[in-house]
Amino acid sequence: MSTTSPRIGRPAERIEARIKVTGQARYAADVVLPGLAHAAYVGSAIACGRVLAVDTARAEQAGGVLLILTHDNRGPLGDLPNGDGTGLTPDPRPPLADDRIDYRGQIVAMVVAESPEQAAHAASLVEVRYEPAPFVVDIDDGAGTRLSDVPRRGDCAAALRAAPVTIDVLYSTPIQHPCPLEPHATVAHWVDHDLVVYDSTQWVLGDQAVLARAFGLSNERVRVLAPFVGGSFGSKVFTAAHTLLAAVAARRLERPVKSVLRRSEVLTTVGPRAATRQRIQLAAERDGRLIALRHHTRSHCATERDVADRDPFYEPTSGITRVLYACPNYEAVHDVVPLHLAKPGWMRAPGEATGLWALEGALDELACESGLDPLALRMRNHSSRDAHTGKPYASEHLRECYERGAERFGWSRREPRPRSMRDGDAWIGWGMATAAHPGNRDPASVRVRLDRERGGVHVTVATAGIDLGTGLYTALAVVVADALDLPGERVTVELGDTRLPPAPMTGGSNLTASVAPAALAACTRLRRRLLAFRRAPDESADWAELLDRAGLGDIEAIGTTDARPPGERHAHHSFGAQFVEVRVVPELGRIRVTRVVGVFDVGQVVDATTTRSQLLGGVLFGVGQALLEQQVHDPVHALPVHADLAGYLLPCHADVPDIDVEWLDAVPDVTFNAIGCRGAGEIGITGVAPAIASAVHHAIGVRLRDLPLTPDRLLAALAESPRE
Amino acid sequence: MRPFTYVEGISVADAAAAVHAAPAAMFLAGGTAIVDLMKLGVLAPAALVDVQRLPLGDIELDDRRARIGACVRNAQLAEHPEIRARWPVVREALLSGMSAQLRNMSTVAGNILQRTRCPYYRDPHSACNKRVPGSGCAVQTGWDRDAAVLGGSPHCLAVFPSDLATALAILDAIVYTRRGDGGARRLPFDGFHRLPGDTPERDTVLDHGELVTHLELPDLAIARRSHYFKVRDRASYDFALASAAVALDLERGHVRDARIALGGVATRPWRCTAAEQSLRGKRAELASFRAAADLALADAVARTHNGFKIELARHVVVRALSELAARPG
Repeated sequence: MSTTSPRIGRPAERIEARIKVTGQARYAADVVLPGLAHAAYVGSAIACGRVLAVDTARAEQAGGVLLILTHDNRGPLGDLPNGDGTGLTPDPRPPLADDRIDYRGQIVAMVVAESPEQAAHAASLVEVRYEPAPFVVDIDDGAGTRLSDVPRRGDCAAALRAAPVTIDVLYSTPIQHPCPLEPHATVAHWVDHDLVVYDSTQWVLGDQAVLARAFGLSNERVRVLAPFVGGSFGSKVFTAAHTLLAAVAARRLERPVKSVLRRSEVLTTVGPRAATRQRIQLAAERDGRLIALRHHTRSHCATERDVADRDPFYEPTSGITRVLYACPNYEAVHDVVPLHLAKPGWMRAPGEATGLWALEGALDELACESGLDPLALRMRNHSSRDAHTGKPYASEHLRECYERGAERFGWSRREPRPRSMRDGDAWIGWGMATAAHPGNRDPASVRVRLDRERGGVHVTVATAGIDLGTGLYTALAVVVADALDLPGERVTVELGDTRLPPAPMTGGSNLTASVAPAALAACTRLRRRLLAFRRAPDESADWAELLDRAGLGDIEAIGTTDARPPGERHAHHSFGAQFVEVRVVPELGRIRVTRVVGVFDVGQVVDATTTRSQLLGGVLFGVGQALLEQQVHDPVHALPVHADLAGYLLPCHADVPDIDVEWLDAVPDVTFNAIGCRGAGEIGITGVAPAIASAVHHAIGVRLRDLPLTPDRLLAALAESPRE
Repeated sequence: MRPFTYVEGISVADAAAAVHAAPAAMFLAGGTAIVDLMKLGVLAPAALVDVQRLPLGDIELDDRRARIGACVRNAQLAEHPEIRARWPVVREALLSGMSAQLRNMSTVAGNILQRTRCPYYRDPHSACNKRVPGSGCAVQTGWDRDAAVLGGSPHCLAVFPSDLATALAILDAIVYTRRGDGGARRLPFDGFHRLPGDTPERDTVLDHGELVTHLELPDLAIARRSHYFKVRDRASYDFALASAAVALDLERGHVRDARIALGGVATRPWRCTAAEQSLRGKRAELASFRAAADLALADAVARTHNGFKIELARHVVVRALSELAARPG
């Protein structure tokens, strides 16, 4: 079994680290091809309305300009697949389809020139006349439409009326942007009427499907490569408008075209985390046991058409609130509010990061109301099964996470009263929350090939799956080296190419759990075939010898992970516990997170180095979500106020607390896959923000329910609360 | 970015004359702000005259003053041991701003000439009188959380962002310039930055082609006990929500003299002379500091979302003075 395997779960060196730090790893924007041309974009200056005219005369005269595309001359593109599982685009309508403007920054013209500078300059010379129409960019100003699919169990209304203790609170989250270090980039290249695309994507096969449909090609004639991707956080799942346009332009020019979004374009055209307004109603017994939970969410979506087409994006906040705690009566209601903004998308732990902000916050309020320790309240409502479907978890260790985290943090020393700890000018507060993320797994296949070479064998592991920088290269190398009992340097991993065995999009923390077991299966097949050449069952011949005996120079096998069968008996879920210490200087509006302890159950860890990195990064992402990140739009002009990383604030080094992450050892989820691993990419962020807000309340007795917890909000809340 | 010509200045007079002669020319020093603004399409100089090779990179000190070349890097100024000893507020202000990389690249003159961070200034599509005179001021109806509470006008509410300038405002600094026509000026720092009024496009009293050559800090006893305190959204690498540069001359627990300037809340570096006056002769204690802080913010005007800055700035003044008074020496 995996837990006894020599390497799985230990810290490995990142196998791609050297080529990354020496600049040899080629990301999409690094690709240089003969005759490469460069794209720049003109974004709409209005949020809603029509383009009356695009005057490209001056731009065409500018040096180096090769092509300007607008909705007048873009040429035909096929319908795009969306929602059929083969690929995703932010908008079923292709870019530059017509004169309609849905959001500020929407691409209204593409300029292609000999150099990026020439393209950018020419783009600034394009003059666009608009007919503006009224718009809405604030979720609080928009009308909601109720989604019909309402999960419920029991009778919430009755339980809420009758309960001895009730909580009824409003929590909100702002628009937040995924800000990967690598901006979205594409190089499109037509070779003998076939399309080759180097893209910054989470899903080469999704790109392939979208591009094939758009250009009326069979999938085999579209090759997409993404061997290295510099972060994504959900924002590279969709095949972006600029990717399609790069392919259009490359075909028109018969030259490869490179398109790299500017940071301001990432912050306006790439789908953000939707804004939410969440009402949580809790009913509980006096001992804290939950009787009812009602979760009403408003989240923003793109356009009224999406609502009319019954395909609005909604931030899936209730996905986690319905499963997490034992509670007989549950109801979730979801309203979507169309806004004139780029269509929102999935951002790291979509639904969990937002839904737990509201639910865990409300639970902290229930704990205060009931005079219970927040941790004891969670323990009391613990569920060892999916609370909604009733399916037992195959492997569930949340209580151990709570206990272990509390011990590492020193939670038992917590004095429940707010304003009970002080250090100089700062009040110290301790808070905690539950972390949770579903176990996801999708069909995948991996090819493992052994080549006889001088002095032994070399192994090549290949799959279309993508490493976003998260650690798949290393994880696969660890699994394969372990399974074949070979030193790591004998293993090469190839990823991110549609010509490699198919793999799902990297999303929902699914990939290691999907691909690593497939690699293991491939290794098992290889072993079986080669071991047949042993002279005796106990003979210790190495792979090279066996290959020689078989008369083979190489051998390969494909391993697969199947789709999860409908009607699985068990549920699979990752959990964790976050404990946070903050220091608050009320009169300066200052909240600093000084300490975080996170303990997680993510199943069997494959590689300790990259898992730790993912969990640390997740916690830090949570600190940013809690304290800093928000986009706001000008109410009159729809301008995104934070158009660069000097304005859209992410944590810098000085914001990073002492983060102590740990995972439970030897807790493989063995019925989930052969390794027993679930993902670790997203769970780290969940629970951090509510734990911070709870710690702030513990520090100074002020409850903050709107993210982020900025100085202005803290000062406003203090002004409203009774002073000590 | 629009095409532009680049020339390296050979001498101070030559560089000033070159910019003076071309209406759309600008000086280039560290480039950390101007290049960004050119990329954004906010500034579109036809020519850049690079002044970094000019002999303006030295810090000269004697008993009477510090003479700081315009092209001294901000890091160089912050690390100078005598600046640290005699004008600690300068070092503290510099280290509270930017990143180490930016401090290594950017210059002292560039620092005090930096443009506002107002998002409407930085967006070429928005109405902004500072960028395009007469185009309007989008912040008046827009997102004003970071807008100025002091020194604003119906034409502009843009906060002046420099930490260094806030420190210089309490140090009787002098700005020396060379004009494009060959003349030279000696400008007291007090009047160097302008209120926006109805001409917010002009941040300073400099004329076109007028090159800052030096800053002078006169030796000032009170400056030895000086301090910069800054509050920002992020723990580092962020502009001030409110900041204060303060200096105290104390005698047996009483204030003999005080200096106070505010940053992050006003349209220019904001010296608070009435607040300073109120402290003279008072005990160096919380009540006096609070009264001074109230006076410093007495004229502040809140817009929709920036009212918190008034309360915050009061606390910042009190905090800056309290910390400074508690310092030994």
